[in-house]
Amino acid sequence: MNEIVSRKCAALLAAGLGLSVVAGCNTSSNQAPTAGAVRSSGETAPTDLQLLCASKTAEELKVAGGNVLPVSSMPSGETAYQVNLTFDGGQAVCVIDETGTVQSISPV
Amino acid sequence: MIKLPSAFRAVLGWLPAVVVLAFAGVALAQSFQTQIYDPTTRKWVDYTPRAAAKFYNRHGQSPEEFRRQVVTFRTAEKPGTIIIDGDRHFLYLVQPNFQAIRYGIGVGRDGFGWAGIVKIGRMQEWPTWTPPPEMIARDPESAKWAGGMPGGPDNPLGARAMYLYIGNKDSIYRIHGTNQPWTIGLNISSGCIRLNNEDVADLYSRVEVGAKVIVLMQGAALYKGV
Repeated sequence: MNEIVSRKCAALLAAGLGLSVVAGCNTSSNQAPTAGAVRSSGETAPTDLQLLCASKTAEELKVAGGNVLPVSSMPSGETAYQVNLTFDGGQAVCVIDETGTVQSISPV
Repeated sequence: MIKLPSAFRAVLGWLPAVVVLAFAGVALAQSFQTQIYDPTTRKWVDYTPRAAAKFYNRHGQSPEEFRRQVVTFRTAEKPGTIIIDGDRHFLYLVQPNFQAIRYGIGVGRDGFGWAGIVKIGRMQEWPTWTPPPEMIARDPESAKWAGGMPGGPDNPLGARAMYLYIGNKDSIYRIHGTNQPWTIGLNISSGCIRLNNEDVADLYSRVEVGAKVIVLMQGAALYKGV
């Protein structure tokens, strides 16, 4: 009887250890950056999204020559970015989400 | 007619100025810098010239992010266009099918950064370096090359140079190689965009005179060709 109890305890202990190992694996999925990883000291919109905003603004506002330049950008909410743009004769603010969909374009 | 409270009217009166100032304020901000992860302290630390030199001496190359690689790049710009993100220290060469070749770069230090839309006006292998008068004024050591330093491994322009033009006029800025490959990832130049010599030779072989070059740099005070 005692032997059966001790076997059950051993099984429970092993299961517990197994769970802790799994939990450990789960925790490790939230990995720290690796040695040598680099980043910018400021957060801007991804380069391609800034340019998508510029080309869409040139199209929407009919900017002569199509030259619209992103001059700054920043996160806007959790899944979008605000991109500030300049062009000959004006400025505009564009909001674009992470999928590349332009949400709004407002002349300043 | 609805009468607004005077305080509210005052705020409305200031609003356009606030919007303009907020817009301009970003442009006046300091340039972004590279940071590198230190696994010992588990903190991000500034990637200073000293840290960059130390990394390069230890590994024989720049951090992996700054090495040449093909990346996804959603853009309406045509293949062959060069896009420079000075804030992240990347140069992208647009390829077909929403891809780009990404290279690590060094850019202008504080006060020397710029942004704009220019084009490649001229290209040169092993270019001669001629310091402009402003550079000679800042650095008397460079005066000995006022007549031009011949191309070669010690030349600051490195193996290749692509001269950036606004219309038909030389902007004085270039995309070029370097005799200091450890400076990739830094804000260190007088406004030129530098790549290591292998990368600049690769880029040079893929672009043509007339290629559009878009330079993005938050905090830059100078806008060219817009």
